[in-house]
Order: sequence, then structure tokens, then C-alpha cells
Amino acid sequence: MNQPIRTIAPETQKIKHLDFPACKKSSGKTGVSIYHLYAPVDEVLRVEFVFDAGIAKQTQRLIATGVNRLLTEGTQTKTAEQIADGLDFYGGYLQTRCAVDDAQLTLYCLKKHLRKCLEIVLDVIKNAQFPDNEIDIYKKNNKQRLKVQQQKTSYLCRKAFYETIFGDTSPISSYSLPIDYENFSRETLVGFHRKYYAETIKYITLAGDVNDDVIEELSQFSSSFNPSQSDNKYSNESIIPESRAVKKEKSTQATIRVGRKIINRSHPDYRKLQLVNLVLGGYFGSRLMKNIREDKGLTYGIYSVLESYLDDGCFYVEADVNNDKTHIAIEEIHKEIDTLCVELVPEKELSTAKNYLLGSLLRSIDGPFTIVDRNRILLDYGFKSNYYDEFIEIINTTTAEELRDLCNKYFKPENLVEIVCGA
Amino acid sequence: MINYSQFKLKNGLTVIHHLDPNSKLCVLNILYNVGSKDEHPEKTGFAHLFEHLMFGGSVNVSDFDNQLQIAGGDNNAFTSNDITNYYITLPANNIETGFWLESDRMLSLDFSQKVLDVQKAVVIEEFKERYINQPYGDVWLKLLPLAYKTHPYRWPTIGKDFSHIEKATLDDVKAFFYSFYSPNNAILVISGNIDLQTTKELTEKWFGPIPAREINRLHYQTEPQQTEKRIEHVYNDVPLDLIIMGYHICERMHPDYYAVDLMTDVLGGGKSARLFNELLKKQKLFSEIDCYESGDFDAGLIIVEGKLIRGVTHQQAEEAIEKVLSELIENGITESELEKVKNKSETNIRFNDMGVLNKAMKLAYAAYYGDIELANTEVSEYLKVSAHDIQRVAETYLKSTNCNVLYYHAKHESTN
Repeated sequence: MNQPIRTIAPETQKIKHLDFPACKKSSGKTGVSIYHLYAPVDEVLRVEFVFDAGIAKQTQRLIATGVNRLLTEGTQTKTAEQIADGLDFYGGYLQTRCAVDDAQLTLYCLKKHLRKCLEIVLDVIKNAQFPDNEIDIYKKNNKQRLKVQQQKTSYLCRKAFYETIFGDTSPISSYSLPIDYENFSRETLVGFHRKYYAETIKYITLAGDVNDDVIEELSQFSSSFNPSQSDNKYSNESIIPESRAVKKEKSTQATIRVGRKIINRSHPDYRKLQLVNLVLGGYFGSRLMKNIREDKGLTYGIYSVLESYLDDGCFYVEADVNNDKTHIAIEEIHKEIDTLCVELVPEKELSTAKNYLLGSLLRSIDGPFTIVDRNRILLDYGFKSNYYDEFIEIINTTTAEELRDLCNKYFKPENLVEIVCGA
Repeated sequence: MINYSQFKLKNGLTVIHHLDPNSKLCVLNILYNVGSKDEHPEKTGFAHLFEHLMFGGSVNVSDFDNQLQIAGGDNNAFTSNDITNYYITLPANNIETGFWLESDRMLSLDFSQKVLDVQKAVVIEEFKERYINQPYGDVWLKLLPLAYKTHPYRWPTIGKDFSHIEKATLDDVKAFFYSFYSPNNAILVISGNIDLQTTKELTEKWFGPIPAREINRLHYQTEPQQTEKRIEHVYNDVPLDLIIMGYHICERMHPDYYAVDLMTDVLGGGKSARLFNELLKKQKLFSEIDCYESGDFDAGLIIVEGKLIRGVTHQQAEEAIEKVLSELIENGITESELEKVKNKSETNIRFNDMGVLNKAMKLAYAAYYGDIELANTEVSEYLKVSAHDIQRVAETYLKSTNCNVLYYHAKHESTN
């Protein structure tokens, strides 16, 4: 028998091809795009209804999320309970989500119940009524939830960070305050709904056990809408970000964020910058994790993150540490970034990071839902369908010198702000 | 339908294989039959601490994570009351790296004092981050010892107190490893783009030479029948009052389990559920309310928990919940309500059966439960439940003498 040799790693192969699976596109009568992807998953379907109704579109805080959440709380003919009961009866799950750049409803259902579920979803999107009673419940309950959030150092730190780097008027830092619930009127909600949901839709995605009948069903559905045209410019004030501390009495740990505003996905440097970020703090084998968690035991987890929005982006390092350890943690973060700015990443570490990044790309296209999620990035940013196949090539050929130069260009410690929230 | 094959090595390792030719990945999932219920009452939190140590180097490999990352893989693990589960995902053609790494740490750990010291510190930070520095983070630390008096479910997996974690020694670590981390105490699932023959060869090659070991499990007692309602008050610096009620239920493999699980959906599973509509929407007593079962293998709990609207008292809240429960006990549910919760379960199960990792975990759990076929028969078990069954289990388990209530009191500021 084949005896194992345990002291030497088995041979491995590099990832050289992705064969990224692109969605197919159909158009309904009115020209609404339906992106679909078949997978051999018996009966299972996910349908996303995506609207240009993100936070970037609101003129008053809380309205975009409020409309999104209250869509399912009553139409001309159905109460909130009847809507929920109707969907549940057919085993459908309808989730709502409102992000900075768009808002959506996601339906999870079995193919045999698709038609029944779509009837309810169409009614909800077209005929949402925003009954006063439901608005009151929403306001009261969310004000209470907000109070709980405001007790969390992670929440307070995140909010302060976005306000610091993007300014108060950016949709990314549009966090609701108790006062926003007072200015929350039915008229504003109805107006926003008319403008961004009732008549137009950005696109529809369809993943799972898709066949011609299913596409036809959605095509019918889409003919109740026109395709929306949208720009994605945020209101932007020029600010000079400054480090600050946010007091949270009696917390046992502090949350720290060190970071800045940065390029988004549309920039040619972005894919390589993802590799720099990965080496610094983007995975378990990163320098920050090894130093601050695995060597010093200062935190349960430390990560660095690149966040991309259609019209902006940011970079930050985040960790929860003991209140009296925030200085050491920040000092070590700066030290790790400084090192990356000066010294070349050793070949072995670089190839590990590359392999890991490409492996995670492979993991992110396992299953129809995540494949569609990846396709949506291409759609939203207007990238070509070979974006991810190119990604492999770009990552495999990035040099240590390029990483050092990018670190200097984007991550230099003197350009970063520090937000500390704790006691 | 999840197709699988099952075989056992001579050393007692149970192996399950599932082929998914459409995936580019392969998963190696290993479930060890050890959880926090196997801990000594004075050394709680140890199973979870041990999970951290499994990444700190094994006898022949000092850098587990690094070796896996070189192969383009990723991994994680979790500890529950009952089990500890480790999983590795790799590009399918690099799966042998997973066999190498996973078998080496089953063979033996490196037992390093430095790794132990650092991971004790990391776990204590985790304890603080999740259980202390979060509003209501300590709810389970309070509710479990109220509900359980003898069974080891009385402490959470993170442990009773972090002093237990501080005291852990290298000898404890070794004893725990040799008591539980053996091929004959594990279930290995290989799922993804790999055929059965290769799976057999690789498993035999890497895991075959590891000797079976004697399992030293502490004996623990089952929880005696509760005979009267227990109430405890907690005062803390949180913004809202909370009520949380735990009712003892049957064990996972008891015939009542599926009816109990559907009953929690009738009561609390989403926006068409009874507690939500009656108490949050109609009576406006709560800003959040939910009902679920704890997911344990031994007899677990049904939890009803809700955050109170400012001005509502705990007593009002509790009475209102009990009224909804008695209504269920007295009048049962309608056929259409039954069909609804069954349809929801079916969708839920089918969506969970997607992806090589989910399927691997499902097979591992089913094998741990002692009936691997459960991975495929679960839907039909739910479909067998009748409206009468649900009323019967409501009557059996939702009794007030079976209930443990935590009144969690907020510190209200003087003005609204």
C-alpha cells in the first residue's frame, strides 16, 4: 500500500483557469433585462428584483430603507398578515434589502409554487400602501432597535468612520438617528415608492432550476415595468478627515478602525490592490492576523477590508481589543503597513496569498446563487464578461515590487485616520 | 436527494462520500463526537478552546493554515454542546493536501505551550467580544443554569467563566486529545468533485495508519423532570427590557421532534407566525419576538424571546405569551396552517441542500444522529406530522411547570 509521507506536503496545482460562468440574458416586452443561470438543483429557484432605489437616491435619511422594509406591509387589497401568510403558504421566502447603490426583493421558492408567489410579489411592488398603523409599528420598533445598536462599540465605530472619511452627506454614512423617525411621513414614502419602485426596475436575476417556462413567467412579470435609467453620482463634500475617539462608557473592549477613502472597483489598480489588502489583513494567514491575534493574542479577529461602491470606496483595518491595548494595536497596524511599503513580500508568502485569493474566487462561484452575485458585479460596474478570467492572469503575474509600490500609493500610514470607540 | 456511499476503516473511522461532478471543489468535513457537554464542570469552555488549538500545529506540520492556503484552500470549525466540526474546502485537484493536514492532526498535535498561551488569550477576547461587550450577550450564561440543574447543557460552549479557560494546562490538552480525537470517535465526509475509488484510496492512505484509541467520556446525568416554574431577574445596562422563556423538550431522535420543530414555526417562524402577529403587530407589546428550538442532541429547549416595548411590564409580556401558547394547546392549528409550515420546511430543506459544504455537513450530522438516511428522509418526516401531533406536543411541552423565565431588566434613562 501507498505509505503516506507526512513531513512533505503533497504536490499541488495552481489555478490557471476559471471558466467563469456568465448569465444568459433575456428581455421582456418592455425591454427589462432578465439575467438567468441554470443549475441542476431540483425545483429550487431564487429570483432577485433589483431597483434603482438605494440609499444614494434618498433626499432624506431613512426613506430608502423605510420604503424597502414597508413594501410588504400592505397593498390596496391585502394586509401585511395576508401577504406574509400567502407567501408562507406556498413555502416562499421574500427578503428585502436596501443598500447604498440599489435596493431589492429576493424571492426563494420552489418552482412548483413560482406563479403563486409572483402574483403576491407583483402586488407588493406595484401597490404597496404604507398603512399608517404599519408605519407606526415600524417607527416604534426600529427606534428601539437603534437604541440597542447604539450600545455596540462596533456600530458606533463604523458610523464614526464613515462620517469621518465620506462626510455627513454621503449615502454611505447615512445612518439613521432617533430624530429621523419623527420626520418620517407617509407622503414621503409614497413619493419615493412611486418614483423608484412602482414603474421601473433595474433588472431581474433568476438562478437555479430555470427552464423556458420560468423565463417566460418572469418575462410576463417584467412587462409591468420599464427598465430604469440611473446615474450613480453621490453628493460629495470635500472634507479633511481627522482621527477621533468616540466615548462608550463601561465597554470592556474598544473597536478600532484605521483607514481611508480609496479607489473603487472601476479603477485599474483595484484587482492588484485586493492582493495587497489580502497580504496585509485579508485572510487568516495575513500579517495582521499572524501578528496581532496569533502572536500577541490581543484580539479574537483583525481584518483589513476594501469596500467598493459604485461612486466611492474605502479601505480599513478593524479589530476589537481591550481598552488599554488600543495604542499597541494601532502601533502594530502601522508597523505592518510600513513594512509592506518598504520591504518586498517574500516569494513564498506572495505565492501563498495568490493561491489563496484564486482559491477563494473558485469557492465564490460554487453554486448558482453565488455565480449570479458575481455576475451582478460585472453588470453594475459595466465590466466585460472576461473580467474574472483576466483576474487570474493579473493576480498570477503581479510582482512583489508592484505590491510595495501600490502599498505606498494607497496605504501609507500618514494618510490613514484612526477611529477608536471604547471606554 | 443527496447520493452517498458509506464505509468504515479498520480503526473505526466512519467515512461518507458524496460525488458532485458539477463542482470544481472538494470538501473534507470531519465531525468529532465531543462537545461542551463532555467537559468537566470545573473545566468548562475546554472543547471550544481545544478547537482553537487544532490549528496550532500537528506532529509533522507546524503551519496548518499556511499549507492549506498554498493549495488554494480555506477552512473553519465550530464547537457545539454536542460536537466539534472541522471543514476544509479546496480546489478538487488539490484535495490530497486536505487529507494530509486533517489526518496529521488526528495522529497527534504538537502540544506547544506558546500556542496554548496565545489561544487562551484569543478565546478570552472572544468571550468578551461576544458575551460581555454586547448588549444581552450574557443571556445564555444566565438562562442555561436556570433551565438545567444536572445536565452539562447548563453551561454554554464558550464556558461558564473565563477563569476556567485561564486555568487550562498542557496536561489537560493532552488528556482531552487522547480521550476524544480518535478515528473511532469521528465521522469523515468527502464531498465534491472526487470519485469513490480515489476517496477510498486517499482515506486508507492517510487515515488508515492512525490507531484506534480508547474513548474516555465522563458520565453525566440526564436532566430530571422540572416540576415548577423557575423565574430569575437580571439587571443590566441595556436599553430595553427583554423576556426569555425556555421550555424543556424531547431529544433530537425522539418521535416528537418534528412536531415540536413545526410548532416553533407556527409560533415564531417569521411574519405570518402567531406570536409575531398577535403580540408585535396587534397588541404592540414587543418590538422583536421569536420562537425556536435550541438544536441540541439531548433534550433541548424551546425558546420564546422578545424585547418589550417601553412601558410594557414583564408580567404583561409573560401573560400575553402564555395566552398565545394556551390558545395553541386548547384549540390546536388549522389544516392550512399545517400545510403552510410544512411547505416552508420543504423550501428550507431544499435550499439548505445546495453546495458541497452544506451537503457534507448534513451527511455528517445525520451520521452523528445515528441514521445517515435522515439526510434524505427529513422532508418526509416533517410531512408525516399531523395537526393533532402539534397540539399534543404543545400540551406536553409548553406547560408552565416546564418553563424557565428570565426577566432581563433595562436601566432606563429618566426621560424617554
